[in-house]
Amino acid sequence: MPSVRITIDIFSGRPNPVVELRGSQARAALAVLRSAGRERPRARPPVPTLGYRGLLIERPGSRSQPVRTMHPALEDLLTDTPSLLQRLALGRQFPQLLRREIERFRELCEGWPRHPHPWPLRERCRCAPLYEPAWWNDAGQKQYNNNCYNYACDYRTDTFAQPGLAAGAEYTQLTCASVRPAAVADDLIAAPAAHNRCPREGHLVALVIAPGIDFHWYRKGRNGYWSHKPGGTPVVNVDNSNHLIPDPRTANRGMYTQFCTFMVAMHGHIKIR
Amino acid sequence: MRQPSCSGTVFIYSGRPDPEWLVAPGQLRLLRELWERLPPSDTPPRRAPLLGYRGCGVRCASGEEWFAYEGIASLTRRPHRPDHRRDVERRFERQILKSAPPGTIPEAVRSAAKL
Repeated sequence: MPSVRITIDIFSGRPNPVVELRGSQARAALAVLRSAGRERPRARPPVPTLGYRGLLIERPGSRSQPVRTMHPALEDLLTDTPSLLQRLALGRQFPQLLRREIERFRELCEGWPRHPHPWPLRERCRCAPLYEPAWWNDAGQKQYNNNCYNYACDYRTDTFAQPGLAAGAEYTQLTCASVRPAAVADDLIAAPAAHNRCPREGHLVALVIAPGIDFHWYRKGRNGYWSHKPGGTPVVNVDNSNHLIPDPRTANRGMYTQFCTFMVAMHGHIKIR
Repeated sequence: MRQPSCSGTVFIYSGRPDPEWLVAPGQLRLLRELWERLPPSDTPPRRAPLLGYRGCGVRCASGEEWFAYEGIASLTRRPHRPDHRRDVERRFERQILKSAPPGTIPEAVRSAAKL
């Protein structure tokens, strides 16, 4: 009777769980494996990542090396056959955790390969906030309820802050002429002549407009490069062309074609809502 | 059968909250019918740019979530893996936008979405 051993490569501290398949299940797994062998391997993040990283398949008694795969049919076989995972005695939540982890890893692979940019560490703007995307990108309360204005001002409100709202002077049109004074009402300081230079106090932000559609803000970081938070999506340090942003005036800004102005956010002075 | 309550969203803005609306039961039925007719796709929707139109979706209280962007549509029923379909001529994507009551989606947004 054929048998197949599947190691679920998921844990970091504990030994990985191992599932043994026999009979028809083993035959089905081997058939999947044979078809997978003919496929062009997909790009995938380098192991190690934390969490699920694929399956290791081996045939007990065979001299061949274990095969690493993330074939959906095999993953489905594991997650859709409750008895297989129950045998592992990893708790009732494990099947659900595994499904979530498989989904997470798949999403990670879909965006792979990523080419991280070298992030200069030299300090150019002493008073600028730190670039700490992980603090904002929590895929929850902080990320979804804070927008580009929150991030640019380095001011978490969890309200998707709107320029001028806190001062009772919200913008009325999606134009530079309307959004700029609304931000001034929140006590940001207009700095049209800043020319991308760091202020002595506070930090530099930049307002751009998609005329009639929306506004967007960037903030200049301690190393002189800019970062931003497009709506409820994660904080990033690249533009629409995946390039670092030395100057938002020249960045690929998509539909935000109008560069309005630089402004200064003085920490503790501004109030946004 | 009672339809679950579902809301539609266009993912486009950065500063303003994205437009959201309640999807009427009749519109939801149309979306489901259209979804059933879409051929399967091996690939998920491609990555949208950071700024600008990033797709549209419908989320139901039942846990179903559709998402459509530039020719691929997905249905997620957590905790299962998303089901991807080819959205030929972006008909499903267009239908999601059509499910918004008049005036919900500014014309400029439709034109940014090229729909």
